[in-house]
Amino acid sequence: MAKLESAAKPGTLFHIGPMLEGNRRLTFYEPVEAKWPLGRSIFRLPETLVISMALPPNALARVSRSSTTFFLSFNGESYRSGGLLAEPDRVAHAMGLKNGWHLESIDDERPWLLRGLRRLPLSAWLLAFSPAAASWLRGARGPLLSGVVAAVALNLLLALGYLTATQYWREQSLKALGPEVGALLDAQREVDLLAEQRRIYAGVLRDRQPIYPLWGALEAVWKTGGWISAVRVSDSVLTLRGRALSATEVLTALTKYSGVSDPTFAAAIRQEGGMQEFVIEARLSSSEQQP
Amino acid sequence: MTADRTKFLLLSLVLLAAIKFVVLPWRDQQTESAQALQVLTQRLDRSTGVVLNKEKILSIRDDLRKSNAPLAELFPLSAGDAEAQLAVQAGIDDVLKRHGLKLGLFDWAVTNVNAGDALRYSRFQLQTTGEVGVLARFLADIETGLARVVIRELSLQPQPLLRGPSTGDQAELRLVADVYFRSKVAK
Repeated sequence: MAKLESAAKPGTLFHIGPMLEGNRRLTFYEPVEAKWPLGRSIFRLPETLVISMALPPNALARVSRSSTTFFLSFNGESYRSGGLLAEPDRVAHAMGLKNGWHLESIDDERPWLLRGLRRLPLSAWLLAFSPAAASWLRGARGPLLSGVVAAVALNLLLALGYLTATQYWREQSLKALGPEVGALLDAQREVDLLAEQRRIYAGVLRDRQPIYPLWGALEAVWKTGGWISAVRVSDSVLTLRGRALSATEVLTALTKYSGVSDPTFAAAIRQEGGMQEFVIEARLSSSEQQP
Repeated sequence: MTADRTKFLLLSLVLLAAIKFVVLPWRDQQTESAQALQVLTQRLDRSTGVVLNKEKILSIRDDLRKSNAPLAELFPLSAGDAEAQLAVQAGIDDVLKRHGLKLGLFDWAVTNVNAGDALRYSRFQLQTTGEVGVLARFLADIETGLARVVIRELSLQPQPLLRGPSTGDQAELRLVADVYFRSKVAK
């Protein structure tokens, strides 16, 4: 590689292609003309390389400008138009393009150049540094590096100083608060703990719905001459099944009893042997008074 | 050219070594110091807060201690969960015997559920049969004598009907209840 490079003409550019089937294509470019003075450029990139990057696969481009016309394949190979290689068919055949190739006629290169620049890999940009830019970088490398090192060191030192000073100041402030701080923090934790305990105890006691109003409800039923066939309490909801001469009278009696609230028939009343069978649901209430 | 490249490579090597062995460890140490400082700052803020509110904190603590004590006493302190369950079973046995009732079934459906802080509960189901007036007194004793018992479900199945308070009608009582207690080993 170094030998090839040194054997090339001064100003020769080269491009190392991507790895394809274990090989890389190494392309040399000998610039014959430039649109701008090369001495002031930062990057030097062959026009054919850039345009080939913008070409779709299996495409052959015919680039025409006032002074010259050349053919360029999508893989970067190029021929100046003329002689035997003046027709696209022959050029495609010479370049070994597969069947189905298509021709792109390029009269204005600018959009193709812009598109190709965007597709250039980073390695191509690194190799494209102009000698002047590389020389400038070599000269500026020392001061730049020193500046970065100094900035990093200064940043670390300033941070260290700030952290040390602030830590010391905070520790002094903590000491100045006196020895009772530990006991007070313990007291604060105890307050939190006691408040949590209080909340839990109160919650259990608050949710504790007494069952005793149930007996008042049964007594109310009995006073109407009714009988009870089943009793169930679940989550403070009382379900009474029974028989009475008048189920409505039973419901009325329960409505007047303060130990339950919202008594309603939970099923249809059925007449059975001269008595009415009923199912009443009500909510047990702790504010019981005598029925 | 070769000397330049050698110099450049050596410089890069020194730079990378300095980053690896000096800059990065130094930066890591500063990150740790910053975190320690943050913790210290929070501690200082808390400490300043408690010092400024000293009287208030102590007063609230004393009030809570006084008001919590009778509440806590409602829930017996047990050395262990098994001990608490045994005490409940013994208490219920006493109440049953006092009323001349026979235990048909007793089973712990759920045991040692954490109800928050040191409070736990276990759930039992019980079945007994007796005269309706006796069952009423039995339930009253459970409710008033064992404040830590919370009845969740209850069913009375008369055999065959309950016709009045003093008719001597029999019924089967089924009960599902939670027993709360404080456990020394609870988390």
